[in-house]
Amino acid sequence: MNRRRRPRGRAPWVLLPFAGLGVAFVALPLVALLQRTPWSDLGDLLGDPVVTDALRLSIVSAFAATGISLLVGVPLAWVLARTTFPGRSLVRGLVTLPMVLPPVVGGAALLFAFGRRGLLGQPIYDGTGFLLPFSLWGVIAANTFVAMPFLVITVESGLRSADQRYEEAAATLGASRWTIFRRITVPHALPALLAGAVLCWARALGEFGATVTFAGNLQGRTQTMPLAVFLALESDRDAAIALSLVLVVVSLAVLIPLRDRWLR
Amino acid sequence: MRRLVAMVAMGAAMLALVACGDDTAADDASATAAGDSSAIAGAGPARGGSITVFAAASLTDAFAEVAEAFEAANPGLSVELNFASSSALREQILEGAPADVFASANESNMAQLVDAGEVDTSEVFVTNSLQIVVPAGNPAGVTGLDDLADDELLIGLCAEEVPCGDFGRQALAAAGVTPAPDTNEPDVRALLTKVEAGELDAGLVYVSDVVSAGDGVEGIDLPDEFNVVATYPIGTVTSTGDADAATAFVEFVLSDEGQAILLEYGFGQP
Amino acid sequence: MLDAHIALRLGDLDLDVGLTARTGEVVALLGPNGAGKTTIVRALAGLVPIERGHITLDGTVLDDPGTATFVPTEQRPVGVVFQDHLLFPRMTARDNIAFGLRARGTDRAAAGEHADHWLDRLGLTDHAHDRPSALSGGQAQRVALARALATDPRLLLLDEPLAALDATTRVHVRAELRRHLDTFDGARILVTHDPVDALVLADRLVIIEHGRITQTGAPAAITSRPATRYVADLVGINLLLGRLEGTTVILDGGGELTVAPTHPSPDGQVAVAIRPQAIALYLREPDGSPRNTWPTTVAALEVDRDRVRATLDAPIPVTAEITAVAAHTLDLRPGHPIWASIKAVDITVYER
Repeated sequence: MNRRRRPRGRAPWVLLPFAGLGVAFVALPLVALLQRTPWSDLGDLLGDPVVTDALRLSIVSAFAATGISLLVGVPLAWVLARTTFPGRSLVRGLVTLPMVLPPVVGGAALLFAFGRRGLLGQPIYDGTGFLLPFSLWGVIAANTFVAMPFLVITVESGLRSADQRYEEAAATLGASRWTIFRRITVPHALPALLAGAVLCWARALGEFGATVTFAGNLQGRTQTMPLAVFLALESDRDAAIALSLVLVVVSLAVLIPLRDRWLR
Repeated sequence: MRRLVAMVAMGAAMLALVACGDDTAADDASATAAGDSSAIAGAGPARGGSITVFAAASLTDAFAEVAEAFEAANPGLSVELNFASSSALREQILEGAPADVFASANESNMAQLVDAGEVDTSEVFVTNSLQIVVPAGNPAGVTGLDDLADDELLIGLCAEEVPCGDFGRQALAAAGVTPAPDTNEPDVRALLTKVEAGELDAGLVYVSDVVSAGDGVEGIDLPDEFNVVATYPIGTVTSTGDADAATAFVEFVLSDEGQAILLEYGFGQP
Repeated sequence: MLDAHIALRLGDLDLDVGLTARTGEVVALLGPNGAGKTTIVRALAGLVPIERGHITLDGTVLDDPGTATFVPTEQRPVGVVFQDHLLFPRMTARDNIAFGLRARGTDRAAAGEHADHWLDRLGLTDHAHDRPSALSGGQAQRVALARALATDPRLLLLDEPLAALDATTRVHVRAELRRHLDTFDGARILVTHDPVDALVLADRLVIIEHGRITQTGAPAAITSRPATRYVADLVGINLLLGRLEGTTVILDGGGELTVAPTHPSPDGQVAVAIRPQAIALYLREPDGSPRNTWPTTVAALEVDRDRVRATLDAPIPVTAEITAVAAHTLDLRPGHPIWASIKAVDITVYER
């Protein structure tokens, strides 16, 4: 009895080499990174306050940016998916603009808006002395600016494809719009929400151009991991590799446990 | 369907714009060349081809004009300029980036390339010294290096890893000042831009940077005993594809005409 | 008591119907797909606004474009049992039933108790903590019914409640549904395309075709005197339309039938109903009493256990039902010539 074992899903064979190419393309730089890692010096390198400061800042700002994106982005996604109003396409275009804008341009734009001489930043600074640039909040703002569109797009798509009949059923049972949103819409959209949040978090973690342009670079206050790596590359390549490795490990630690069951 | 066509048209237009950008520079150069038949210092027989010059960020404006003048004097040759911090450029060359000429903002980066065999010999072609830069009008009333230790002010320095930052800290140490920077910019140009925009009250940059920013900023001199003189070396990269053209460029930079341009931009004589 | 006149346009549908339902009455809306039955349910529930007319329930106006009154869905005392039950997939049966009460402000404990009461009433206590995916079709439909009833609505709407069930389950659930509906005291409107559902569950039928009501009345009245082809086909009767002159009906499609004199005998437009069993078939021209005898050919044959239904060609396209043995004896086949005959007394004539 000769039973051929087929991979699950019955994928057409012709797709596999392309998929393999994709995996190889992404894996190769990582392999190269591992190959150049100064394993013997790793302990010392990682103990450096530069590393711990940068890691702390990166993680804090990525989570904060994701939190803000959820708070603001989910209602925005709902409005884009479920309502019609004149200029909706324009709003959707605006929301996705940070995705296509070069991050440095985004950072410069943020500066023009929220900097000390910025459109909104100047009156706020003159009135309260509060300043976004050169602070952790500036980092969070820059991260949110570039990462939120990912969340909005993902959640909007999830809401669009949701079965609205359940929401109608809930309405016939007497549920107010807010109750429907809270108990039906959001739970059903949870996979899209989670996927969007992960995408947002990952983008925020890796953000460089907008952060350095808007928030500046100061160890312990605004120097996130990508910034630290960039500067380390100029003077101490080993340190740069060590930092990169940390970033890769942290990212994988978050992404791998997200089983695709949750993302569906 | 119409939207798709519009998007494709926009994309094509953008590509054309980018492509045309390069072409017009070459067109300008050849246009001026047609009118210049008299012998100019550094002019040689007409050559073809292009060379790539990696130059420190602080040389951005100056080298743009130098390159134009060089192209005018050498019709058929075009110069591709790549500006970044000297350390970043050094890394790129070490990793095999295709550069023909390297102009660094400090000796150390050049020395590393010489050690690695990427550069044969180098020569100092300009000097640069530091200056405090403030937004036009000096709104924060900055007077000297001491102000750079003021917590209340928004101070920007170059990151330590880049030459401008290294020299800046040397000068501050010489003056016994512990700076309180709010940002260590990886790029001296970025620092300059933020000062010009008024987002920073003061920064420590090169004299050449202050000159290139024109009326948007003001410069405050450092006492000579604290100031640092940065020497800028230039050399041809050994793996160059066109050694003659590369050498010609270096010679042009060192020539009277080249030097005149550089001095205009605030650099000092070597 | 529901009093509604629903007029609206939705896509290709042009709907204009007047509908009433008394407390305690089960009204079935019966009609072909696309007739507008589900749209009526959605309009009553407030999911789609009407363009003209009004919807009044127990004296309260729910929808009246004339006075710009529109009570939103969540404020209407209307319960809906949907075709695919639409139970919330991430909640247990108990939570589904409790949902309406909790949405209206009842605290979790009280709502849960109420849900338990309904689970018990519908025999679902064992499945209280099952997710909908773990329930059978019939159980899910019962949960959907309990969920709709738990909020104590004044009007209960059931949209094809048995459509998603297989044939055997349907028989059980239909019987149970009758019992459960009997315990509800508000007005009940049931939408279905299955005439047996309508006959079993309803007190009154409303036939809807192409957005208009074509017939309404008690089930028995409608089945004995179908007004349209659709209803006739539904109840398995032959229905022909024509003009009565004396004791002759001149059929619209051609041909004539002699009928028994009817009292009163209205000359004019009539509908003629003939049971399939009343049509006799012969190989040769019969010689006997039936007034209506004509040659024709067999158009199609349909075997149903020990019966055969033979559809006959023009001029009088009717379906005759004979025993399988008889069909075999006659060697019936599509295309074969045959003689048909109907006794005048077996033809029912009524005004249109």
